[in-house]
This record gives sequence, C-alpha cells and structure tokens, in this order.
Amino acid sequence: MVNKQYNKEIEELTVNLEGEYWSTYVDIQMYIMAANIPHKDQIRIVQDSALILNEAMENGNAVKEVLGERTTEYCENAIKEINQILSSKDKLLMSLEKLLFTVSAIFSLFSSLLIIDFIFSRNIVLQSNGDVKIEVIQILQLVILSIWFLLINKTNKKLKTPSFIKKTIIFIIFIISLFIFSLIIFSIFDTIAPESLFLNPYLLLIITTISIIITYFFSKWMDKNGR
Amino acid sequence: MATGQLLKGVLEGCILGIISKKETYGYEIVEYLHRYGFDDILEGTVYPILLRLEKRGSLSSEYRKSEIGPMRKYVTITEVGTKELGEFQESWIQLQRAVKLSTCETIINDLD
Repeated sequence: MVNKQYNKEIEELTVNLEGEYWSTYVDIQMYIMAANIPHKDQIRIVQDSALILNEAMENGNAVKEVLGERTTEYCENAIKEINQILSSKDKLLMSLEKLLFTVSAIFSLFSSLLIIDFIFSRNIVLQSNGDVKIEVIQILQLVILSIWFLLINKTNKKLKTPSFIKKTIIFIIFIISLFIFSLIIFSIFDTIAPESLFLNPYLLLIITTISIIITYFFSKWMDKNGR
Repeated sequence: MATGQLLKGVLEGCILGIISKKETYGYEIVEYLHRYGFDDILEGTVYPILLRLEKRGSLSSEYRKSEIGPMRKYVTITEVGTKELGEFQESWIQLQRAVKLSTCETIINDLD
C-alpha cells in the first residue's frame, strides 16, 4: 500500500520530465538506490531530486546550473550527509536487512532444487522418458531464473521505469553466465551423462550461485559507473 | 565570495536564517542566497545541507502543491533549529571580531 502510494507520487513528479532532466533523474535514482543507506532515505533523496529537476525544467535552468557539473558528486554529497547521521542501530539494521535478503534468495533457490529432487527421485510426475524430463527441468530452471530476476529487480520496481535497457542487459548477462558455467561444469564432468548432471540439484545450485554472483557484481559495477 | 570549508560552515547558518524568516523551499532559498551575495551557490549544494538539517531535527518539511501548481517540499524551522541559529549568530559575531582584529593593519601596528 505504501509502495503503491509512493509509486503514484513519484509518477506525478516525474511524468513531465524530459530530455536531460529525465536522464539525470534516472541516473540519480540508479545511484541512490544502489547506495548503502536506509531505504527510506533513498526514497527521500530520489523524491527530492525529482522535485529539484521539475522546478529546474519549469524555470528553464539547465541541469548543470542546478546540480553542478557532476551529478555523481551531488549524489555522493547527499549520501555522505545521511551516513554521517546514521546511528549504529541503523547500521546494524541495514546489515541485517541485507543478510536477510541474501539468506532468503539462497533459501528460495535451494527449496526449488529440493522440490525438483523430490519429484524426480520418486518418479511422481514423469515416467523415465529422458527427453521430457530434461524439458521439465529446463522449465523449472527458468522458474528459478525468474525468481532471481524478480529479486534483483525488487528495489527498482518501487520506482517508475528505472531503465528497461539496464534490466535487459543484466538479465542477458545472467543467462550467458549460466550457459558458460554450465559448459565448464559439463566439460569437467564429461564422463557423467548430462541428464544425471541436470538432475543433481547441488550441481545446479553451484552453477546458479556462481551466475548470481557474477550478475550481482556486474550490476554493482554498472550502478557505480552510472550506466 | 568565501569558498571551501569556511563557506560550508557559514552556509548552514545562513540557510537556517532564511528559513527562520518564513516557510520556504529549495529553489527560493537559492534565490535568496543569490540576492544576498552568495553568487555561485547551486540548489545541488543547498540540498545536502537541507538534508542534514532535517535529519538533525533543525527543520521540518512537508510536500504539498504550491499555489501556482507544482509540487514542492516546504521547510520550516523547529525549536532545535532556532536554538542552533542563535548559537551560530553568537559564534559568527565572535569570529567576525576575531578576523577583523587579526587582519586590521592599524590594530596590529598598535600592538607593536
């Protein structure tokens, strides 16, 4: 409910932004949402920045005249102010929040893999037809990928149209890294039949985890470089 | 105009002073600062200061539509802010006197 209200407010604020005002807003949003500060402060800064850009556009002032030469410097100053005021309790809560997010991501992956293992070890759903099994596993893998895709976009979904291109690039990188690591693993264990490898939930977990780590660091790098 | 660290400290007090006069918003604060002689100040410089003051409890803010239409974040000074402003004014008077005495040639000569 709160998010819906917030989405509505931010949409009202950004609906008229055009050109450099809109692209600067997107840059600020990306930078701030990736910053290590409480979520409520991230929202506050993004919202205030949207107001500043709106006002600038209405008054015909260029972005540089309002925010300075470098938008990242503006963002860094705002983040610095928040960090200076944060209490140790706030910092602890932030760490716990991150830990919880990581644990829940790993748990959701692991539980999905256990379900796969359960279904195929008991032949509950399918008889032993190799091709159909692989197809179903691939579908389940896609479900896992989708869960992860939703998780990495959890923050962005709270804001209006962060960047469709960025989302797509992250997703493509994730898929590519998954295939590369699958190939590496398969080449290491080439004596084992591919079907049995696919059925091994722990191996699948390793592949997916490595892919997630790559995606995570890549998206962080993209955020830092303002792409 | 003063630059760097000195300006940074002074600006906080000046912004509090402007807000103490009336309820206002970011763009208007910058306009006042320009009028008073802070020519190079941008809204991007003022915003982090407003953020700091608000987090410290010196200001309170409210988002609402202005009379002419656009949504704005209006800020007002709190009791904490008023107290801080008083302290800033005292410190500034002392600093001003100290700087004047230190840099005024005739007084330095008298000391000799």
